[in-house]
Amino acid sequence: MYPTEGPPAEPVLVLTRVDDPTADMVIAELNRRDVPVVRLDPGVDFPRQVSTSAYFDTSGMRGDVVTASRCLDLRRVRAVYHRRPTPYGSQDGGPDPAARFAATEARFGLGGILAGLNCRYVNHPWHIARAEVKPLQLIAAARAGFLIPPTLVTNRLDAARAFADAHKRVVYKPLRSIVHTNAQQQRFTIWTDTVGSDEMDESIAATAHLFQKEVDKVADLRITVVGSRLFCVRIDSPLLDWREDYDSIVHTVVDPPDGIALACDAYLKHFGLLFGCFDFALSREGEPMFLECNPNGQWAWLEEATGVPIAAAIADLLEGSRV
Amino acid sequence: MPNSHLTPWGLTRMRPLGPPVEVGHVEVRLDPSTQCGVRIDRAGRLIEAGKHGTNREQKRSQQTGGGDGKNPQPPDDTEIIEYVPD
Repeated sequence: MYPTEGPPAEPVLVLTRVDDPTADMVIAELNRRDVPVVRLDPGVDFPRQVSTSAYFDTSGMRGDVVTASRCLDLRRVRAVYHRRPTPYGSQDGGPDPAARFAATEARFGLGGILAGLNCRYVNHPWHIARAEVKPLQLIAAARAGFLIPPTLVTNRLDAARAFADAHKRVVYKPLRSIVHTNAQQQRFTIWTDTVGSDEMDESIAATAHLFQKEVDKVADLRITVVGSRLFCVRIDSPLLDWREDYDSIVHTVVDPPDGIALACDAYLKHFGLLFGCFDFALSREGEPMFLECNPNGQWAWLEEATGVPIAAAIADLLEGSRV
Repeated sequence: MPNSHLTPWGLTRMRPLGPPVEVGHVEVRLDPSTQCGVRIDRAGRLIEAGKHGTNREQKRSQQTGGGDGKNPQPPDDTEIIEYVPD
């Protein structure tokens, strides 16, 4: 075969840490399709192994980003897959002002360049950041037409107790998931769990706390939306918060409930997202109740458990073959 | 603020997470030709793709730790690390 005429195909830029088997699945699919890939972890690789120059004038931005193995023309990027890059500066932690300065300038400099490319993002990092905020999620979900469980965010003990008493069974969940590591390297986290008003005390005043009416559910639904495609998996778990033990989950691919595809689409458009992982609790009446939508959620385990072709669907979006 | 010194109530809901999942590799490098990660075991050997069971381990370690389960946190400190939820 003679090489085809014209410039080489535009690459997909993948932003993630080096240890990311989920991104590897998508990159392998792009490799099978002969779509070039440039991968980097800006918060780690820059400036050790990555250099950049971006020029701005009346015609916009031009320049390049050079990695250990690739050169990316900023005007020839097909799409960006923003997976799980390491946050800028987390390698150089500590109070050193020079390191802090370098990390901040990197985040606003290289981070700004990589956020300003004229191409499709799956997803744009700043859209992800906005869509991760639970109060915004709940507002958008209601607007999109989802049913949402009554929810309270408060630092008032009396309001929390009244809410718990009014709704009989409520759960507490953190507004942002955390893992806490103590001096002995033991790890702790907070799962969604039921709470009674008698368990609450004045330390609720110390910060914002999220309480939600517990859905009397028969199962959960995990709906992964990739562009115009939707993968609906029913999750049967003995646990209230199925994330606590993936091994106890029974996964079943099911038809999405009526009307949910349109609502998911409206929700994602609200945040400017092309990809989202929706979690619903399926009530005894068969109604899906919106719990949250993770704009950068995990999906590889679903593909492994059920065969839903999510990697290929993401590759479709990045390749540009479909929306 | 009168209550700003209190430990937030939410922290009383902390539960043990269990030890990080043993992932079988000690290092991940970027393959310059494929741009995929390649995993190296303790003996410095390449772990064959598909044999490191990463999907399953990743789903655990990433959903819990947000990391790869092998990056130690600073040993002399108790801290809350930022974690991207699944």
